[in-house]
Amino acid sequence: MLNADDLATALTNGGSGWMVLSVAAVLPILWAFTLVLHFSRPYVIRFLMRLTLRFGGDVWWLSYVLMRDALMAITLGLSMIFLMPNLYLKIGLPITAPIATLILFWALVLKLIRDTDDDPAAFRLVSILLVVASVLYIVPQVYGMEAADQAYPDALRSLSNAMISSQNLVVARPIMWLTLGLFAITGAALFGRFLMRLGAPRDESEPEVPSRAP
Amino acid sequence: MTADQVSGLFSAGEGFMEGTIAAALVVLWVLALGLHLAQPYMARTTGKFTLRLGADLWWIIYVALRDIFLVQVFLGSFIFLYPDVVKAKELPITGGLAAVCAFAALLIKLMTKGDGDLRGMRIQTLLIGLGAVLYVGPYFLGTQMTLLAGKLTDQYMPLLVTSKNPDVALPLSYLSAALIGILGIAAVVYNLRQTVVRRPKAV
Repeated sequence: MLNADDLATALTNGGSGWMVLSVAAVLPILWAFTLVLHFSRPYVIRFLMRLTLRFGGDVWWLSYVLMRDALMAITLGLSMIFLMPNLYLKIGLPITAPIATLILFWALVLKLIRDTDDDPAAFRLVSILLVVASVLYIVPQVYGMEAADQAYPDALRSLSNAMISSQNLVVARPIMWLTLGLFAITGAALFGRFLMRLGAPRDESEPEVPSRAP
Repeated sequence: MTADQVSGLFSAGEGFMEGTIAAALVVLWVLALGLHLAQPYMARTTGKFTLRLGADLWWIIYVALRDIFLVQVFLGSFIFLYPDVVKAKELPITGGLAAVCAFAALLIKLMTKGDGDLRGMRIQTLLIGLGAVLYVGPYFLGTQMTLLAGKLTDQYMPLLVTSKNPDVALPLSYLSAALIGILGIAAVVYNLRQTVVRRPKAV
């Protein structure tokens, strides 16, 4: 019979494993939703043109941009678990999930440094980044993690196993450390850029930061 | 089920909760820092609305979310002030100092004139950046590497995890609590001195 310490350890490990795998299983839905909202831009703009009041147009556009960007931020937030070595290398997660997280981070950084709503080239770049990242996440999640119990032929079985991080450590380890390094470099660059541009003269087209403190 | 196992069940619940808070704090730190760095994007978006109402709503939602996330970071970081938890659980060793940075940034928000105050904004951003590094760094390279083995890992990981380095972790916890206390007193004094300032009257 298990003593109190062993039971506590087993339950905690079991609980955390269950939570991580649940997040991993939910993320394809969030990725799909992120893509849906990002690519629904023409529909949203078309509908915007039909509204007769500027108030309605502003509320519609605000709701769209808010949901679209919040969803991307939530997807990035939840995807941070793929950058945690204990989880990624031990529990077993989609092998390219850290790269997907990094590319999603780059897409968000691009949104910060360029006007992706009005600059077609920037919009295209964000779209490509999102598509690549979602494929890198969804494919190994569905055909690696969620196909582990299928009776595939050996060749297909080994391909399926190769998509799971804990079963392909030779590939998973470099992915992990490379992604962590690039993530840190990107974050540091964004941070430095923000500090250097804070208070610098802004472009004609850029509005002033709202500040109505008494 | 024996009494011993019931105790184990509750210990597991506590451990699971603390582990989850520690992991969630990574996300909260990243979101809090990201939202602060997103200020130019948010300001740019206010220019796309045709009515001031839309721009104001957008700005209100942005500021509210950004500041609430920072408050959540500070509240979640309270576990780093509990000596028992710090000593028993595998937490990032500088988590308490990161909480001090979050609280100091909140204090600057309280005491400066918002986003228009460039100096205040710069200090806030530096503090939030420092806090994020102090939390996320030891979390990824310490707490999240306890199951891994290797020359570098065995050498550096124990330095970054509270339960494996309690001689450093506990003094840092006490120091963080003291710093937060001092900053808290400063906030109270500032508030009391500001009681003469009235809220602007509605037009």
